Amino acid sequence: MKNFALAGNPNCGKTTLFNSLTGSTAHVGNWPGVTVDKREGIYKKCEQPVNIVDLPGIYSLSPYTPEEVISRNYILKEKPDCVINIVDATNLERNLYLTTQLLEMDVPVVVALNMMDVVNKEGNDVDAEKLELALGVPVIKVSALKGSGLKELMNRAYVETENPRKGRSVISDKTVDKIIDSCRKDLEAKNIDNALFYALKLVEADELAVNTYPEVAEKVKKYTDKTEDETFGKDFEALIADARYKFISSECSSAFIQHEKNKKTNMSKSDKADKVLTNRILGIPIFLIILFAVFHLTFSENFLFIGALLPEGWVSCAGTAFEGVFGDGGINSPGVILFNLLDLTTSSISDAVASAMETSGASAWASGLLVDGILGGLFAILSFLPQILLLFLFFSILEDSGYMARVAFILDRIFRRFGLSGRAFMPMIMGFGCSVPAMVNTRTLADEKERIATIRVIPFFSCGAKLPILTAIAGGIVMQFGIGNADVITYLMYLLGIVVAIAAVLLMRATTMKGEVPPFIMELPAYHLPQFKSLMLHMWDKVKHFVKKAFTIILASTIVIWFISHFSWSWGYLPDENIDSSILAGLGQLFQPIFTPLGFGSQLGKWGWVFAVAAVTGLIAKENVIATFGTLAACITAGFVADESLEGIDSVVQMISATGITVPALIAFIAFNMLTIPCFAAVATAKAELPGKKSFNMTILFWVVTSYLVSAMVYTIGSWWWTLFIWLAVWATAITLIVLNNLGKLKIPSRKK
Amino acid sequence: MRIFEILMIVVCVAVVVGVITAAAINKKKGKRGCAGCTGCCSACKGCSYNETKREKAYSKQKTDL
Repeated sequence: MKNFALAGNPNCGKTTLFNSLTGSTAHVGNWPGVTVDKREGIYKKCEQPVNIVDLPGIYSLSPYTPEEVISRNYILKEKPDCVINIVDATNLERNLYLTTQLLEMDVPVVVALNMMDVVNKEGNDVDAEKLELALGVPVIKVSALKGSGLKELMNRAYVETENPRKGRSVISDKTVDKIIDSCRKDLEAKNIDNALFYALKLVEADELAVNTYPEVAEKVKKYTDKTEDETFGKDFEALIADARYKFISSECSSAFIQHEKNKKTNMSKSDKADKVLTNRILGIPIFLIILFAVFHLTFSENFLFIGALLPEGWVSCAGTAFEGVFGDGGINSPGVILFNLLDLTTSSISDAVASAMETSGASAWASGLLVDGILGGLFAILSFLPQILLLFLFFSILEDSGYMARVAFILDRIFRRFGLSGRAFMPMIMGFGCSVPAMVNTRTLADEKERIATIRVIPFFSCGAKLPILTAIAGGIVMQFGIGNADVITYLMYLLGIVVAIAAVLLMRATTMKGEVPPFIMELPAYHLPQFKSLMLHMWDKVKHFVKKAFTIILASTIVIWFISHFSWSWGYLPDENIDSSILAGLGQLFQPIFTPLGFGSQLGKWGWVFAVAAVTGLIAKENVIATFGTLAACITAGFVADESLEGIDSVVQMISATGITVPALIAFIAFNMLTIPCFAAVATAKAELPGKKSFNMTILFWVVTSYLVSAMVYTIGSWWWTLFIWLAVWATAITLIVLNNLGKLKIPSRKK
Repeated sequence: MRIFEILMIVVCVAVVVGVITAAAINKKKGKRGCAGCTGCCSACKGCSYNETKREKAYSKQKTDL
């Protein structure tokens, strides 16, 4: 079977083309030794079936990244029968750079001009014949998305496999022409395939080529040592790159036929949007505003802030169908409306079940287990599903539209000077969804130290599972203390996580994780509307997995928590009023003093252990924190307050009433749960991705220390404002010591081995 | 104890034991146990179980051809 390889830049439509050609025969594996995807499939519409290998997206055939090495080695060693070079017709000049390198290889090449539908839609065109004449290989116009030109492309490629081809150089520069020719002849004399390609690589001082052909490399070095170019000096790689671009602009650029109306401005819509969104000064504020808008739409009880315009108690919808739509402070946001709707439903179910249990004469323990334990815990979490979905939807829109790539670009500009590259922000931003794939995604970071630092801070970007904690406690604060807005508190806590993450990475890069900041090159995809179907499929997946998690892990946790909170150490059943003598209370009281500096420890008296228990159960799954409140709040307040419809926010409000916890301590509790050891799944992923046990242990310690310190800071500053100066002094001392150490002015004695 | 109370206890014990057992089996299979929080398991490289599935599918295809 013949083998065809697809090669092209990232985002040129290679995968779309591959999928169109191979359909259901496609499968995904891994290239040996690396974690880069390997895709292969069969095309059956030629004379004979053809095996198609989708090479990783690359910008050139230099040996700087695993993707480039894979592609290059595949073509040189596996010798495919034809290389189909997919070129994005909307971006000819950049894409043709790789083409010029492919032409140097002794392999049949066919150029597929993809995205012709986009080119034609804008009234432009490409003269394929002119391009074919310039490049010396067939050029076929295609549209992988529309499926046009594919048959012609494959038939032409099949025909080309019958015509062996010798590499051809587009370089024309008097400084290097002779040495390239001389190298080529030397290599051909040794019967080495792809002699021209290797000759050019040797002149570029390509590491792989130099190691493969040291004798010829030596000859090249003698030449390059005594030769200097007027413009590029001794940088022959830059000289050759420039020669390639000169060829492209002189021979190929004119093949792009621009419509008259487009000649007035060369800026696409994406470019115009980027002028504002990636502006040096406005970029970050715009990002913060967009982020705030997302939280406002999801959590606000004063949507569009029209509450200020309305008289107090302007409408009372209690007991009506509009109860969840209008709040005292104004109109609820879509997220809150959906939350209230679901809350109403779950409350009705709980009431119905409680009533049925009472009617049937069920025992107190059975009623407690089912209503307070199982339903209380489950519904405490499930009621947040609409808001979790909405937040997930907004983040998906921001990511799929191409905006998140811009965020990484903006942040790179600012933080590069502090030792952090924008490439590290891509996995961090993924952490807003889940820490597990975010940590895996750090494999794209070449620098080991940067990778470790990034893995450590990913959990600080609050994942979807932590959302119930933020929402419930923020809502509880507003309800109980009448302070602030739930959306503002939630937004600020998200920001706190981001700020702590950035500060932690900067600290690590200045101390234990010192290193060069690798260059950050990223193609910004054009802005586009996310596909509705794709978004809905993602959300449906999210619903399925969330509900599955709720009815498995969360359910099991609430059952265990209820059980050990209603039985004493001597296995006697305890009614709700006596659960402070339970196994759970005993365990909680052991941990309680640890949290005293954070505001939710011993100072909370009799019921303070619930916070300690909730934080510990959060290690299994972060949703368990609120599930624990939901399960226990009913028991703690039985006979304490009349209202027993206790889920989510209500359960937090009841906990506040029962324990007397303060606002700073509640914020410290959020901070602690946001920053501490993440769920078991994330811990297992970190262990697998980190290099060695020592690194993993240090990471656990890092999480514990960071969460403890930050929470202690939040609580003490919130409770006694003057402690701010003490903390500032502590941090100033620490930073001074680090700076002095880095400057070599401070000698810290090292441990003798 | 009434029948439905006994049934409730049995179901609760089954849920707890089932979740623990499933977690142990998944760990042995190489699943990361994230329970699919992201909702996009097929694209996630965090699961060596998925990698094994892909390799098996590839081998089967080679045999079919």
